[in-house]
Amino acid sequence: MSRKQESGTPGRLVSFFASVKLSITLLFVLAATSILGTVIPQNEPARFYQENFSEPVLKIFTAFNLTDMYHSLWFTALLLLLGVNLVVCSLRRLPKTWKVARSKGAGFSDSRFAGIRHKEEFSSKLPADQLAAAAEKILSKKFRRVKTAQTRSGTGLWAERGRWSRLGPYVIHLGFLLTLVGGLVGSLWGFSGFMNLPEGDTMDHAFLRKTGQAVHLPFAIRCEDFDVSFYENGMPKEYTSRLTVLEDGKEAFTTDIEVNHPLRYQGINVFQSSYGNYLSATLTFLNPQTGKTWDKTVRIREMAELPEGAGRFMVVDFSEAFKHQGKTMGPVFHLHVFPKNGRPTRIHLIAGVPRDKAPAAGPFKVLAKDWQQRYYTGLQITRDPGVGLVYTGFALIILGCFITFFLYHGQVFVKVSGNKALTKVAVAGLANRNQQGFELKVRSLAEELAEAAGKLEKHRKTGR
Amino acid sequence: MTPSVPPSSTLITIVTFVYFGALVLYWAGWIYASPRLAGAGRVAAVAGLLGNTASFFLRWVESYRMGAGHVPLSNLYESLVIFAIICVATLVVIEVRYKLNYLGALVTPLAFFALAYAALQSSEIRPLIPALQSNWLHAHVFTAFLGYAAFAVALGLAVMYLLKKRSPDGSITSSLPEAGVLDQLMYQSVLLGFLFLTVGIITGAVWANSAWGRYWSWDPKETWSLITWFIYASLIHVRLVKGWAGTRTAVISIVGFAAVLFTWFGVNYLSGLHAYG
Repeated sequence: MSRKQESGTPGRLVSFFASVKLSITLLFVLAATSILGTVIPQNEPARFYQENFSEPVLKIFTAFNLTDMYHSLWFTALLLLLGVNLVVCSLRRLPKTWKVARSKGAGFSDSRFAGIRHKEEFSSKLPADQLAAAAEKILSKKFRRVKTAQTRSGTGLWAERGRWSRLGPYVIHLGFLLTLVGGLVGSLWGFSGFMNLPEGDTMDHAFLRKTGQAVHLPFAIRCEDFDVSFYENGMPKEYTSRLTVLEDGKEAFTTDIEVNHPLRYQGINVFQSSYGNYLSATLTFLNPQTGKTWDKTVRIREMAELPEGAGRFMVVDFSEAFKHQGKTMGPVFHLHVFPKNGRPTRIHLIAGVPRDKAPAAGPFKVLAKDWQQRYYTGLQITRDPGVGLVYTGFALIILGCFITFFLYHGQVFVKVSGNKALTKVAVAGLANRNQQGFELKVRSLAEELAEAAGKLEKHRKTGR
Repeated sequence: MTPSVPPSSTLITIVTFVYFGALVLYWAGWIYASPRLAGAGRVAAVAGLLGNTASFFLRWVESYRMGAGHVPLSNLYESLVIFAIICVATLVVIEVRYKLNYLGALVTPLAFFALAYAALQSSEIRPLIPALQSNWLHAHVFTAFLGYAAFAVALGLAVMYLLKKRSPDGSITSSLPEAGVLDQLMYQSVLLGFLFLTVGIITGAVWANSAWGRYWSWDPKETWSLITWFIYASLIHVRLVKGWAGTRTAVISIVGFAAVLFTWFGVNYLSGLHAYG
């Protein structure tokens, strides 16, 4: 392919972006650098890298953002460069291809015919015009467009198929581009967050995976129920959350979600992602001076108020079977107590301990009254306005691959020439792809023509 | 539940030996330039293919009998079995259609090694975890492995091409088709593989979006499949635009298959979403 050398900086810039060398280099560079992120663990907490890598290596990681390399500036720039390259390359070649794809076909010409090296030939005693008519009939059956032309040396027939398939690569490129743009749109205007929602609770915000920042949703979600079922061998079979969507405090609808069956509503997607247990405990606080008692129902790792404004406390941990000096103590709660007056203390509260042995929490004695393990459902909450573009891109890529790999623009040239005694027929084929396969087709076409000619000849003889 | 060997796995063991027989016959046919011996190899390969396919369906039925019914496309063992099926089927189709005799010598070893490697894996039928319970599973795994198998055939053709190119009239290469034919067939296999790899990646992305809410997470297997895709995309572009052919594209095809192998096996040593094989 010849290309004009452009002068001046803008011209050279266009040439740079339009070069296929750049595309191939980018494909290789992307392939090679992508390996890094599969070897270096991505998006781990900072401590992980400090423990596993030495200082100089960490410096390199930080410099090139190798711990989140697929979202680094340089990697995004490489992808964008490939996108720009694709656009410039395609736009440059498209007008020429478009012209060919739209043209009504060049038809037969002696010079084009002469340019094809491989020809199938046979001769017949039929007159040239009769043979040309027979050839036209056969060609019309197999090809949509057939043209006949009279040249100085005889009759030329031309037929073609699959001209539009020349646009196949552009369809793939457009699809790839839409996928890239869709990815960009998603990363700019979408978000990916999570929500750990205890059964019975309602939430209207999710937390971003990257920063932990809260994102408000256009509706609230209440988890009515979470259920996990198991196969006989103990493998998990299904995780199901029954969710109610609330808009402005009013129940809109209730639905079940499972893995692979998310809820999609108002551009927000809610996926079943994980689950977990949390503890809900009722503790009894006793004021030894007044004899007054209070029951407090609290959740694990949630700050709660002590009675009478005496301070705050939190259940930080719970062990079903706590071991102390080799002895199993039964269920034990670990509490942090922050009295208003006095220093914070840590206490172990053994369930079922007699009242006189109850530990002190600030001015109170504390006892465990009741507790239960409850589920929370782990929901993945996303919004991705780029998905439509990406999926359109996917469809175009597959369509374009089919067109490009299985269809081709094939042209057949048939030349009928000769004198009264003997007519010569030559058949040749030209394809933009799959030249060998098309040559086979041309050969069988030539055989069919020869056979038809033979039949006509016989018919003519017996007819006389 | 005690792990038991399902009858389909016993069948696979037999098929492994049949493929080995096919391999020996193909090699003997190639070395002694005997199309009849190679033809016997092809008969053995077809017999193996029938057994291989039967074992696939048998395992499917077995899974239903166990109450864990699913198409057997869900772990490494099952992927090796489907790979062998598609690989040998593609081989037979190409050999018959293009009248090749000895391609099997380079492709049957791949099917044999796949099943021999499968013997080292657990053949226990396990029910599907929630993430795998999707119809996308079948489309994704099947198209991905159609792609892998086409690339495997391209690898065989690339190696044959390089051998033929080095000594066109050598003792074992004189019986091979012309280098140009091998080159063209290699390229067509790559195109087929590329199409199915593309569909495999895309179905995987659509599935991931319905299971996890992200169509692309840069998990190691995804990334390696993309690396493979980039390599074969380069091959197609240098061929179409730069007119590269022959040795250079054959070498890229071999590099591409190395990436296929890493996508398939190597990634299991890294962590990620495809941890189940």
